[in-house]
Amino acid sequence: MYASKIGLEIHIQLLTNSKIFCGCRAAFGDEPNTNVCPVCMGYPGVMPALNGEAMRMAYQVALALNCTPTEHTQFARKNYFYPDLPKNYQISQFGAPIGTDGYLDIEFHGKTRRVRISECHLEEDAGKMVHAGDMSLLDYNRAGTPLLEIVTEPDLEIAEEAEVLLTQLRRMVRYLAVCDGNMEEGSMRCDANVSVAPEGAPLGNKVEIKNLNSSRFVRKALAYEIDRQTDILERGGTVSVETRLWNENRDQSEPMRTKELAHDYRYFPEPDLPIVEADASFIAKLSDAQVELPQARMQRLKQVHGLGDRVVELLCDEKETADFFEAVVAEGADAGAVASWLTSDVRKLLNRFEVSLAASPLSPRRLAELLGLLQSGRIHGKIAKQTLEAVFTLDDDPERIITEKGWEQIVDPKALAELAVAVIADNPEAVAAVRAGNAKPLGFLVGEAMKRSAGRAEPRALQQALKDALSVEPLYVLDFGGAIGGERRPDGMVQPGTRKEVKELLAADPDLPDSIRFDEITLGGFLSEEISPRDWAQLVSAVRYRIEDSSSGVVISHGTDTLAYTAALLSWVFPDPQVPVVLTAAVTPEKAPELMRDAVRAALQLPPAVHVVLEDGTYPAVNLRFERVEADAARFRTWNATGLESEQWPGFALGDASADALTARFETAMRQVHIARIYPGMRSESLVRLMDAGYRAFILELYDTGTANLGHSPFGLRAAFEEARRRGVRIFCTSQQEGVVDFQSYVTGHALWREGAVPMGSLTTETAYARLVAAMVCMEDDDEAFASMEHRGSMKNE
Amino acid sequence: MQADWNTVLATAETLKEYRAGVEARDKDLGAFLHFSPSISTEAENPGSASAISGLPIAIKDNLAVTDFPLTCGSRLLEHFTSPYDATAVERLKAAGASIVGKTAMDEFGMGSATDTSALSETKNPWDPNRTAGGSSGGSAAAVAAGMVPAALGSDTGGSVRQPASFCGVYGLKPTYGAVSRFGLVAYASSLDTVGVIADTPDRLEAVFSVIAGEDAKDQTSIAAFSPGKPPVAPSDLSSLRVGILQADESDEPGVREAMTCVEDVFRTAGTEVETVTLPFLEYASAVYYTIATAEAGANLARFDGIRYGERPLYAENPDELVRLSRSTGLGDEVKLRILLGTYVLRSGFHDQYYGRAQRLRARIIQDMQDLFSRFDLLVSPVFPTLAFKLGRDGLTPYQRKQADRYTTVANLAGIPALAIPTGVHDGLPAGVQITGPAGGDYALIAAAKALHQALPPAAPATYPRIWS
Amino acid sequence: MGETELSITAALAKLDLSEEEHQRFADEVKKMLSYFDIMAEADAESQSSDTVTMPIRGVDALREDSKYRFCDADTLIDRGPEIEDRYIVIPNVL
Repeated sequence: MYASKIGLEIHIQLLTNSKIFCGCRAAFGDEPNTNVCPVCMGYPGVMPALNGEAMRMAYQVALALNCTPTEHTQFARKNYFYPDLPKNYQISQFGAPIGTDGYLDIEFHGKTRRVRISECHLEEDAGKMVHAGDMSLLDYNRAGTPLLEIVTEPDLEIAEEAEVLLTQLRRMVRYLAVCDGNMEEGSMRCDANVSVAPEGAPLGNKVEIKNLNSSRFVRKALAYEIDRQTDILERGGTVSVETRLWNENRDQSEPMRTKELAHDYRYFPEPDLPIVEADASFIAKLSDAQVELPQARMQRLKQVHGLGDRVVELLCDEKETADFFEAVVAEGADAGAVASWLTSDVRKLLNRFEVSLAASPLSPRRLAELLGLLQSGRIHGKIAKQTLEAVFTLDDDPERIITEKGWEQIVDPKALAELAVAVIADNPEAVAAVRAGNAKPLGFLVGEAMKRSAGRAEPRALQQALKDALSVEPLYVLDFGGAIGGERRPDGMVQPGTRKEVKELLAADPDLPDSIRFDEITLGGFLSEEISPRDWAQLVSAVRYRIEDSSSGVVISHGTDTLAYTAALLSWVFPDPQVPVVLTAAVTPEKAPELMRDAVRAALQLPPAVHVVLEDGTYPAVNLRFERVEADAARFRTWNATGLESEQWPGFALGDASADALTARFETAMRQVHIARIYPGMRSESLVRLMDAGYRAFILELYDTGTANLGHSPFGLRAAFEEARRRGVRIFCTSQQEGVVDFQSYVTGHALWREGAVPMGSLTTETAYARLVAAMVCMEDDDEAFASMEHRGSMKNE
Repeated sequence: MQADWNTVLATAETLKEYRAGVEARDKDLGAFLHFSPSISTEAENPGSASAISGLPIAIKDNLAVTDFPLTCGSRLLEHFTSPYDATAVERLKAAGASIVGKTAMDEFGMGSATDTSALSETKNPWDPNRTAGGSSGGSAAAVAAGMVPAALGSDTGGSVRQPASFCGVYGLKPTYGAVSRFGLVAYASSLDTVGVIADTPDRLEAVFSVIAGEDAKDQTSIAAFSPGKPPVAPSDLSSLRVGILQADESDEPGVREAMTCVEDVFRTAGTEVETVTLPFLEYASAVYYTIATAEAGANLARFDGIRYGERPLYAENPDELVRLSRSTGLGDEVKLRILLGTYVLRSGFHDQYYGRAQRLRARIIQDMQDLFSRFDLLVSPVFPTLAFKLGRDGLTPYQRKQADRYTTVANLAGIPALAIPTGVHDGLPAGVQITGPAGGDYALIAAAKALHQALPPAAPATYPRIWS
Repeated sequence: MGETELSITAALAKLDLSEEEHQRFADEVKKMLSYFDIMAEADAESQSSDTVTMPIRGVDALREDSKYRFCDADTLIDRGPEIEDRYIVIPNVL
């Protein structure tokens, strides 16, 4: 086993108006050598005049990184000749940097880590040298731009953590408005030191990697370097101390040409600048003016509004968005609704119109107004989306838009009741059927009423008006196959097929209120082991329709074999159904009547959520485990019943894709996700073949809290993990046992984490699989879907 | 009756006369590297704006004057002209003075005889076989030979005081930070000061009060001196507490005589006088040269032939371009100091040399503070010799460096020191320097005024005063 | 200071020394360094103290962050030994 240590040196360009030591404009993209003066060109006789704002920004970052600010900070000359360095020394800091001994907490795949910041120091940037044939061209526009160098201790272990740290730092400096954090343009730059050594051995030889100008390159280059050093050590070699450059075109690092002369920077205190005093009152003033930092803000938004990790992360990625969110909430809108609109529909429109939130016609007041209209029922979801778009195109208030466009719905209960009465009077036959116990004609009546309102009646309120007028409660029963809906053949085998009508089944039940009306929809005459992506798409589409329709509840009969998958799936795609959705299953057709009755009762009594009703009681829809079969009974149990809080595992928004579109999405998703269970004798090769076949994600069922053979033998999974990491294939890990996968208890578990395995915490394999499929179905971007499989807080700090 | 310095540039006629006079005198002296006086509108109305209105002033060639050469006496900058004004120059111009030319100097201020320059060698107006001193030898000679009433110099280790003393004029090395260094081509930044050389203490004061004061472009400049601060009256010598440095028998007789002469003036005036010793004098020059060369190594790194200055016609690569530019553009004394300075900072040697020098400097600062808690001023020699001979008969570079011990103390401690002429010894001017606590510049000038009355300086016989 | 030390030092300072110069500078540097040794004794008896030779300023007393120009960029370009399209030109390593 080898341990790797990574330390980063990050340079951020501070967004001052003028350069650090002169009044030249600190900006890019201008004609070469236009933003220059004798000072930044290193002319004879000039002196640096330190920019106070650069100091303020530097101290702000140091404080945000929990550094101890240096009370008397001083500059030093770092001496080396290079054509882009006008004075042939760089004014930097050596003994008394801006701040020391800070830290930044990061988290990758559930593991949090405190990365120590050894120091932050301020310095000047160099110019740029362009090579053109037999000459080099020098442009000093950039020379003298203030740079803050942030140096971490070698506390990072894997490449991905470095990427996370950079992302977090970028977000932080953008919040502080001291740097735009753009690695591609060089306003944020990173060099890394990597050393690998056998576990428990002292620190290995250090290799410096340069030229990492995107966070993706940082990840690739560091992973490459750790592998390279590990290989050398495994072959019994020694890693030589050197500086390597990342070659992005060849995806590999190359040793930098060694200069004939080792650097000797000959630091000494800069005599042209005063010692700068940052006294307590200065620091206090800065601290008071400090904006709330992203981590703190995410934490607060989570706590105050009960939002999920991923949502707050999306909201807080840019300060602008988080500010906007809070402004809308301050206008009285529901936080959950604001969050979901901002992270989905608004985001899409911003992308489409290529505009920033601040520059867009959408103001917090307008969004609050729109959500108010939606909440009061004056418009419904579809119109709301339409209205939002209209705000972007017309730059007008939602209220005015819906009035002018005539998009407002009829919500007045009196008007709707009148409408219901009129429709009932004109359709005696349908009404009679409903009164006789059938729910199906209700849909017809709703349709008629809608027509009369010229489509302007608010659907749910209209349905309610009709249900009230008829004194009925429609309940939908979806037959989704399984033995519960089948029958026993004379030879004793169970086959899917027609079952007695539920209506008949329940006719004699005295416990059920008279107002119940049923509608039965048969989705498939199959056994639950035969479920295909198409079936799931059909089911999801049908449930969505019934929830939105006039129902008071939805009951789904299902087989036992795959019940755990389907139940979890429904709960992920319907995190907030307006009505109870109850799944039930039985091993034999004989049990059906009793179970169906229980399910119907549950649908009338339980809160709106997805539930599972079985012979021995009611279960939550996630983490159901089919544990035991007997001749006439199936035994289920909920694994890890605690630790399934919905904030940790929020569901997804299904959207309004058609059943066919959903089928396509389910097929695509399920074609890319594979469940694998590890066992003695499992070969990496098998997983790699699956990757070759196009699988992009695995639910890998490990042992215990997350252990597996990670050796190099054919029966070790190292090769598979390395391959997955190389290809960007995700491996989400569950356990074969009941318990929480956290990679914390065993060395092999930690090794898995190092290789990029994502711990699924307390989720069972079935639930995790259903979640991943649901995420991929609901989200257009697979990376976003993968990100939603991450959850935080299950691990403690080291 | 001599003509007035303030009107010398007033008309085309006086200007012509002035130009001819200076050119004639400088032919043999080599004080100016560049001389281009022009009519000064301020001079038509002398004395209206300030005491220096219309005054022709010479500037050492390491101080930037817009569109004037800024060679620092170096081959590498032979054709370089400054695109900007040094703050001191800007202030002189603003006060109505007229910059008439740039004076010769040791290359980048590194020397004490104005003979390390690739561009000229300055002779002493009192004896053409002797040095005018250095590195501000051109400025001192120009004032002593009556070509300008005042000149700016720079003093890093004695470069204003020693040539002033060698030439028999007044030379002030101000408190560190009293005059902005912006526009002074750096030799050793923590020691560099812009100084004034003048024919009288009053003139010196007039010029100093104009150029002193805080400058936003030099953040090491200090607010204690506001420009235009009214001159202090000559001090009452009897009220002073004066320390006299114990004579060193190895100093030249003329030097010791000057010390005795000044001591007598004080005693006659009833001043409280006490002989003192400065134990650190023994190593002051070593401390000075360690720190000065270390800083010089960095300060002179910018002269690489890339952005300005001379560069070779052909170089294979950037490194060669830089090495050739420096190797051909810089003189021996400069190279020696760069090598020394680079060496004393190298890892492995840093603490032994640079670190040690910094610690000892701290001690010198402390010792001088203690001294000035007991005395108002200290009288000491400027240099162990009077103006020495040019060429082989003079001092070796090594001897010269050791001889800097009296002057370097003020630079190391950041305190003001003023060289004053005390008389003529064997045909050569002799003098002493008076040193005061940081910020005591005007008090030193006041004392100089009092001593001026007692010891009026003479002009060299070959260069009688035309203007005054 | 030995021969190699002088060579390393000269290389750090970007100075080419001819053989004659090398010899001469080696002698002079050596002489100065041995002169510097007189600091050793004094240093041994000195209490180590931090030199504060530079003034101390508060952050608010530093330069305001505003753009200004005291010198036209074009006049600087004009002073460059070799210019092309506003770039300063130097030979490239081939």
